[in-house]
Formats: sequence, C-alpha cells, structure tokens
Amino acid sequence: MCGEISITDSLYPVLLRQIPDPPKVLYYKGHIEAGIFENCLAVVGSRKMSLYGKRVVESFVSDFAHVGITVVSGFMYGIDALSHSVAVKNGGKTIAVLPCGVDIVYPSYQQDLYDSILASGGVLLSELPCGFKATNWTFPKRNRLVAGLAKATLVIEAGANSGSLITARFALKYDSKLFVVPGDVFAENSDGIYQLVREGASLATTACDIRSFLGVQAFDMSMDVTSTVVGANIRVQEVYSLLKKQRMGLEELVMCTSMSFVELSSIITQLELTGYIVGSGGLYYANKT
Amino acid sequence: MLTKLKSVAYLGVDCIGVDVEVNVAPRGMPCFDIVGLPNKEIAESKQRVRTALQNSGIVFPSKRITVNLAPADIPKEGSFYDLPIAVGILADSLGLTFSSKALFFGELSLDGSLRYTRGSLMLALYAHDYGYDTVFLPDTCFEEASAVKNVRILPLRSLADLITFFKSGSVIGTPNRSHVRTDAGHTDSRRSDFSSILGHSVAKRCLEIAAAGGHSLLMVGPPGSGKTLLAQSFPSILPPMTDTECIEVTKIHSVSGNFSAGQSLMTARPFRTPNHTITHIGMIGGGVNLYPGEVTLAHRGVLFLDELAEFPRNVIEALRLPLEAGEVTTNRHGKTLRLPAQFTLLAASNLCPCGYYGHPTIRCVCTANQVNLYKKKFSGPILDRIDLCINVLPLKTSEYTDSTIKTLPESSQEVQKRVTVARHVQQERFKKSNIVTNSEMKNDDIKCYCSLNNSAQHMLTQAVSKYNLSTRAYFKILRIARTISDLDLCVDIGEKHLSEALQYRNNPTVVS
Repeated sequence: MCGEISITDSLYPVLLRQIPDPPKVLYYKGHIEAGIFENCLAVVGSRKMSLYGKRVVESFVSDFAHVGITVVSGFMYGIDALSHSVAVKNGGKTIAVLPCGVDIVYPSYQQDLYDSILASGGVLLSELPCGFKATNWTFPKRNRLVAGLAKATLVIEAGANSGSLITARFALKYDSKLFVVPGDVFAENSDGIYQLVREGASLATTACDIRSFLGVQAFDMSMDVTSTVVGANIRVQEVYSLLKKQRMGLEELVMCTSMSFVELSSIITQLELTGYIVGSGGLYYANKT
Repeated sequence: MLTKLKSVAYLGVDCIGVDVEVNVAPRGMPCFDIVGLPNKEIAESKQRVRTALQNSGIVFPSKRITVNLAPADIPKEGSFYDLPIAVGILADSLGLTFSSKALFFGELSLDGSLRYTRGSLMLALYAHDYGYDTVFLPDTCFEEASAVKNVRILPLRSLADLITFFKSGSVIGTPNRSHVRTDAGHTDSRRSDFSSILGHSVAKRCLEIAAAGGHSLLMVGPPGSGKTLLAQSFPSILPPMTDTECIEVTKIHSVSGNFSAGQSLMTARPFRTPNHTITHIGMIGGGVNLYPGEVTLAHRGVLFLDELAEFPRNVIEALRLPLEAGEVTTNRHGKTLRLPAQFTLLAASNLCPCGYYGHPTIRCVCTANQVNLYKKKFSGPILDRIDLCINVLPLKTSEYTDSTIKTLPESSQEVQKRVTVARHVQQERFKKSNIVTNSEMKNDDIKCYCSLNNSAQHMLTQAVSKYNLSTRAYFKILRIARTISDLDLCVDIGEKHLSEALQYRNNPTVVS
C-alpha cells in the first residue's frame, strides 16, 4: 500500500513546498528516509535515446550515484528509465515521479525497473491517489514535481517537442539551476538542448560540472578517455585512436587504415571485448572511463 | 469396350498412380460421364475431347461413355487427362492397341492439337520409377520431360500424330534427343554482379559467408542503402546445383506451373521474392491437393523477404518450422505429405516506419514508441533462427563519385569460386551424415566438428559473458566461425575466425 505525506508534514520536501502550486498531499511507495530529498538532481531527456545519450547517462549518473546525489526522474522509457536503472545499479538513491497513481506501473513493461527501484531503497512518488490512470494532462503536472523536487535539473538529449523541455522550463521558472549536455548539432535530439541554451541553460560536459554546483565532493574516478590500449600492438592502437576522434563503421575503417577487413574485424572484437570501444548500429565508439 | 490406361494425380510435389478407365458401351442412352472426383477442368474435358476428336476427322461414338478415375476417393485436378480419355475412346472407335507400359499425358485443344501442360517432368520421373517405358506427351513438353533418362518420350503435335503413330508405327517429328542442360529462362536480367556494387565490403563478405555455409542473413538499414541490390546479387555467388538438385528443383517448378513451353532443366538456383502481402498459405503451401508455397519454390535456392517487418506476423511465424526442419509436413486425404523447403533465408528491413532511423544524415520522424513497436515485429524466435545480422549504411557520395577509384570490385565469379571450394570442404566433412552445409549442424555436430584452439576458446568465454549470449546464439556463432574458417581453408577455428563471427551477431533491436 502507498503512504501519504501532507504539506504540513515535516518529511515533505522543502524545495517542493516553495513552488507556486505545491501538491497538498504526496503519495509514495518505498521507504522515505530523512535526507533523501536533500540533494536531489533531476535527470530527464528524450524517450528516443541514442547511443550517445545512453553513454552520457551511464557516465554521469553512475558518478552521481557514487557521491550520494538522489536522481529524480519521470520513469518514462528512454533517458528517464535509464537514469533510474543506472542509479540503482551503482547503489544510488533514486526517486521516480509517476504520472499516475504509485500503484500503477506505467509503462507496464518496466515492472522490473519499478521493483528494482523499490528494492534499492528508492521511492516512487506521485500527487495522484492510487488507481489514478495516466492521461495527457498528468504528464506536464508530473514534470512540475520533477523540477520542483530538485536543486538542479539536467537535460540529456531533447528533441524540439520533447517533454523534457517542459520540465526544463519549470526549472527555469522555479529559479533552480538548469544544465544541459551538448550534443551533435545535426542530431534531432539536440534541437531542444540548444533551444534551452538560448533560454539560459548552462552547459555540462562532465559530471563534475554538476557536482561542483551541488557542492558535493568528487568520487575518485578517472573520467578521461584512456589514451592508449594497455599491452596492445601498434595496429590496435591505430584503430583505437581513429575511433577516439570519431565514430566509424567497419567500412570506413577499412578505407582509413589500409588494413584488411578480416584483420580489422578481429581488432574490433578484441577492443570490444576489453571494453575500450562499444559498437551499435554498425558504428563503433571509443568508450569513456 | 473397356480400356484401362495409367496416369497420375498430383499430391504436393509428388504423385500417385491413377487408372483412367474408359468404358464405351454400345447399349444405353448415349452420354459422356466422368466420375472419380474430377474437378471443374476435368469435367470440362468432355467438351474438349469431343470437339478435338471431331475436328481430327473421327466420328465421335454415339454410345454410352463412362470414364472412371480410380481410386475414386482422391480428388483429381489438372487438364492432362484429356489425352488418356481421348485415347480410350479412340481404342474403341479405331480399334487401337497399345502397350500397358505406356503413359498418356496432355491437354487437348479444340482443333485436336496438344497444348503445353504443366507437370510433365513429374510424370516422366513417375514413369521411370514405376517401370513404364513410353510416355506420350505434347511436343512443347518434350524438353522438360526428356531430362529423365531411360524413358522413351514421344512428343505429339496433335491427335492426328498419335493416330498415325499407331497405324504406321512411325514417330512423327521427334526432335533430336540430344539433351542439353540449358538454363530454363531463369537468367534474370535484374540479377546484378558483385563487381557492379561499390563499397559495402562488410555486406558482401556476409553474403559470401551466407552462400558458403547456407546461413540466413538479415540486413537492416535505411532506404536507399543498397539492401535490395545486394540481395539480388546473391544468386550470382551461389555454387552451381548438382544434377540431382537440378531435377529436384525442376520437378517442383514443373508441377507448380512456373514453367513455360520449351523450357528444359533448371540449372540456376531459384531466387524467390514474394511480396509482403502474401498469405501464409502462399508462403507455406496449401489447397486441396497441396500446392507448393514460396518456401518450397525456393528449395535449394534463396527466399528473399524484402521489408521483413511489413510481412504479416502469421506469415513470418509460419517460417519457423521450415527454417528448422528444411521441409513442410502436412496431411492430405489421410496421407502425410512432405514438401521440401531447404532454402537460404535472406531478409531486409528498415528499422522504423519512416525508414530513416539510423541514417547518418536524414532525420527519422518516428516517435520512440513507433520505433519500438516496429522493432517488435521481428519476433525473437525468428531472429534466433537468423544466423547473420548486419547493418547496411548508405554509401557516402564520395565513395561512388570518386573517379580516382579505377579498380572495379571483385566479380561474382571470383567469390563464387571461394564459395564452391568452401562447399566442397563441407561436403567432405559431412560425408557420413545427411547434412549439406554448416548451417544445418545441430548442437551435437557442432561439438564434434567445431573444435576451437585455446585462445579462441578463451575469447568465446569472454564474449559470452560480455554480450550476454544465449545458448542458441553461442552455437550460432560457432556455426558461422566454422564457415569462415572453411572459407579460409583452416581445419581448426582460430581467433580471427571467431572474432569475425562475433561481429555479425548484431541484434537489430539495439539502439543505433
């Protein structure tokens, strides 16, 4: 069953109380411990996540999880869902604000994520009573809570009509800090991002940018691209240094390196298995960390 | 007078013997009846036979004629009973006698001439198997039927030819029986050569592996990236068919009516490209007497499903069993029938409804949900049965306009040579079993034939945990690695073979 916190309750999130229209009652599922609302960061983004977005979330959110920042997001598939699951995997706290009653899993195929958030000591939150179904107007309402709960909001990938823009604009309205992660200027998932930059968002290119704003000490983790592949021959290094500059497919690599196709594919597999690169959709990227 | 002639009835791509009994009774009301579950075209044969006889100068007997097609409980279809029925009547009118070792086959035209009739190869094979020595058939079927040795094929232009033959014993217009293996008009001008395709070295390599090991291949990518062109060039690198395979394939196409007059044995492997509006009966085969579907027509060849995601779900799912078993098993008239369906599956698809998901420059306009739903159309079990999966990305303009590139890509002939050699290696390996290609290896065979050296074994173990490979995927990779090392003429699977195989394990449902 779900619990309730009223606005007069001492557990009620302080930041949320300050927004113009705070909900009178918050319904929740999970365990609310003191301090979970203290250092909240909203991480939102596109439902149509690209591999780039995925890599940003994996690198940034795992960092936040290690330093104890609570990741708030909207439980929707794409960047939101991944942020929750990366936080959970790295032992961090996460709050999912739902556009429906907290007893409803929406979208329903994310039952696993729902369970794992609860199991990790995270919280599912909503201003809607149990049994209330998600409809079109509950989503922007939910976005207002995501922005209202957090000290800062981070947007990773957003198209021109993304719902994340609603969350971001709430953040600007509430005078909380808005960070965006820059992307490829040609990508559709960057349109919304650069729109927000024009409206006053700050750029974040490392997790450190956000951490220092929140005043949290860095967790000792190197975030640089590894310069060379340990213990590999010169040809492997050559492929790796090409991929560090730019993502490429096998086809392009064949042309750039004068190596045979068979040789290249064995190097690629070696690099992939050792985690130096990741491949997706026929393209390969150098990995961070 | 009662005359008994032998004929056949088609069941799937096989046939059973049928007796054509023609009774011409001098007593009773004059009439002409056909019994024995004839379908409409056989029932209409009455009019054809009567008119054809009259136009050949024979007085149609004004007697009670009863034709029975025995066994009576099996439905018959096909227009080829015209000739045996006419012969039965002639036997009475002209007192003709003929050997019981002769088969008559063909559709009559109203002027008494014989028309091209489907299925003559099947009949000739039946004659060969069951000890008939002579087959009378339309001269336009001669090329097709004479692929069968040791059977005397007598071509007829008309009923008049037949009458002359029985009166004088001379065969009229027997074409020269020098049987030449010609391609049965299936040299498709649409088929392209590898040398005409620039770039796409990854896709070409995959096609080579697919051809060598009989592996199924899925190509995903945005429109205009060359998926269809690549697929159409696939037949040009396939190894030539053996003689038995030629007969097997020709038989299927002959009985399904895909042949036209004057065609001989098929030597090019079939390449079937059904449209995505096909029904599952069209794909698998069906009907009262079991017409072969696309999977059977693609036997020993290629079934190319362009726009895989647009095919109805039930059609795709119906492919599961034929892909696994290499045949379609069904039941007609209390008999279990098997249609062969040993084909290589080639499929191509976009990744979203608008098609541009994953395109390097053009933006996809679909929502995330639309993309997800589209990807769900490739069901897990079907993806599991597809060995190779690659992304085909469009060429950059510079790659095909660059005039400095003087050397043409490798021609199909070169690739076909390597493929044929790899097939020979497999033939040697599977001599004792009934497997033909690496793709047919079951898990036991894989344990037996796919030995890895130590470093390769280590790499595979690493890959299984890194990529979360399922057991089926594990064996799939070994099968592909086996084919790659066969192309390389290596006995053992090495690290480089395995690492190449791992590159094609791509799951199209991942984000790009």
